[in-house]
Amino acid sequence: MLSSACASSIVQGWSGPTVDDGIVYIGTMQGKLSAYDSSNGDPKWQKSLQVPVQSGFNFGCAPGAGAKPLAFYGNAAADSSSVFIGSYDATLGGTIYALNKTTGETRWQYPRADRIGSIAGSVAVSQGTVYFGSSDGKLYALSASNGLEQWTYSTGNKIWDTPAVVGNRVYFGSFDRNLYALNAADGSLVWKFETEGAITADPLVVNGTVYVGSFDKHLYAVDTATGKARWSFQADGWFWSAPALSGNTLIAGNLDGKVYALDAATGNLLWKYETKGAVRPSPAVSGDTVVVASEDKNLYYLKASTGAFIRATPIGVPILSSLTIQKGLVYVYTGQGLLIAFNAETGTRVWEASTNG
Amino acid sequence: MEDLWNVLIQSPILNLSVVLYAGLLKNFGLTIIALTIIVRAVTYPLTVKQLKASQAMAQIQPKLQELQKKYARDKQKLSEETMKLYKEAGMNPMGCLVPMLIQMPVWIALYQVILQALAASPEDLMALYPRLYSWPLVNHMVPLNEHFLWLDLTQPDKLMILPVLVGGSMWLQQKMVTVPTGDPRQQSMNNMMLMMMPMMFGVFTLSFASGLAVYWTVSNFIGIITQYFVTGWGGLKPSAAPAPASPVRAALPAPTQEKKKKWFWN
Repeated sequence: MLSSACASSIVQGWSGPTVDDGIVYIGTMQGKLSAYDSSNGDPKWQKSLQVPVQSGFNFGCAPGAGAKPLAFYGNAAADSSSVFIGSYDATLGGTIYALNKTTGETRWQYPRADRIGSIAGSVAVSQGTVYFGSSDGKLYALSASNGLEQWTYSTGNKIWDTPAVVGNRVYFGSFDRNLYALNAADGSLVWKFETEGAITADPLVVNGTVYVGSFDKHLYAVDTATGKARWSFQADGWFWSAPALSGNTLIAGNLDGKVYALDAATGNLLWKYETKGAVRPSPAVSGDTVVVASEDKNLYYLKASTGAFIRATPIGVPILSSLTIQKGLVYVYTGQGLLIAFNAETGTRVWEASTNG
Repeated sequence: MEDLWNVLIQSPILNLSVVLYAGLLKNFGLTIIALTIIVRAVTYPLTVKQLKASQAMAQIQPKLQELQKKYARDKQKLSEETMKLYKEAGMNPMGCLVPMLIQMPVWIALYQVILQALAASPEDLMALYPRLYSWPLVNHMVPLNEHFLWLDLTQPDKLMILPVLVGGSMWLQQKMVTVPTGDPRQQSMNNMMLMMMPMMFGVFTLSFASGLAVYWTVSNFIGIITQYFVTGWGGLKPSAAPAPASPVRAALPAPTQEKKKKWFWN
């Protein structure tokens, strides 16, 4: 019981795979950023990211003096030369690392000396700038080439989602219940839209509409031009992650264990499918197939158009990491140190790689 | 069993804490203080029973020691005479233990609720979701604001004020309970215990979430006040001299204690 009293008792991370230029990048639960060949799982490089821990009173709570592996909740993001990932440590704060895509060598890290809040979302990279939110309530914009700060914007509470950068706007939500639209160039506020709950879900921006879920159990469609709601849909639980779009169907997972499919134009419910565990990560869509990861330890393959069950693949552990589908493969990080690639059509295991090494 | 624990004890306290949070300026520090006071108030009759039983036990200690000396070689006789002494004093040897055992689950639940409600990490916040009732008020309040005064309630107190408060208040409370004894061996053990527990909890506080330390501190101070009105200053009295081994004297209530009670009621 006493060990559960430690500050931040459970911090493991749930970073998911990112595929870029034939490489899968994953922030592992062992505090490493690892790169694998996306076609066969061959390891390319691995970079251990740790923070120094000073000796002191850590009774039963933290490792002694030395180095402590970092936790990652957001996925890695890549541009043409670097791969970026943000770390989470409730005591020591967060750090953004920019590594060489080919070798894994560190190019820069931010902050260099000071501390910022822990980072629970992914980094968005657009036109030479990286954007990310932090538990200190600020959205940061840095130069992708050298990590120098361009601007910051303060909200009223933590930012745990990943900003979406579309056109000259940055969209993101905050624990302060607001969805924000900022000018990407200088961080000035364009509009904000208030919900009744905290927002941890990444916004999805398509065709002039921002789709975002909230802890008030609603999924909102907000006009990008005006910041006004077009429609909202009420579910039975919290929306933690972004919806996915398949044609005109918006598909969202919910912590109530259900997957909801809505008409993207009207918000009308088209179908829903119930799993036996919370659905935290975003669904992944490939053609008319949607793949959903549930805390009930299964991957569900459903027909995106009808919600018809295709198959379930048991994974053996609850899946909290986000999924990625690319070129017919579904990439899943199990949290037990296994990165697995499944065939999106047949559900068969194509390759797996251990990230524990 | 775990489900039963969650449904009957933990979840009601957890959801009550979120409702209190909504009513207390969305301040979880105030919520912890209010929850501790509420739980202390609800368990007050049991606390009083426990304190009185402890006091009675302390008062017959000299007699017990005499019996232990007298029947050191006859365990059965010692047991019989001890039971007889309890009967004569009109007390149940389990009198201190039973109220404490009844209160324990509530205190453990409160302790767990503070950590769960604060939800320091994303995993903790995920784990909080199924424990919350579907009341809109509760869902709209979460995640809770973890800042209180100078503290981040999910982190240890960087200013080191709380470890001192936790250790100091615990020492005060224990000192009030500890009855001086004429037996040097017993006295030395008492002194060691008196220092050990406060020091241990002070050290825990250096690395535990400060929300828990707030709870410990408030709980200790309420304990001190309750104890003062039920049993008086006890071991804190400057004149508290080692109790003589005389059974007659030891069985009598302390005169200053009587005076204190009088002052309270008048």
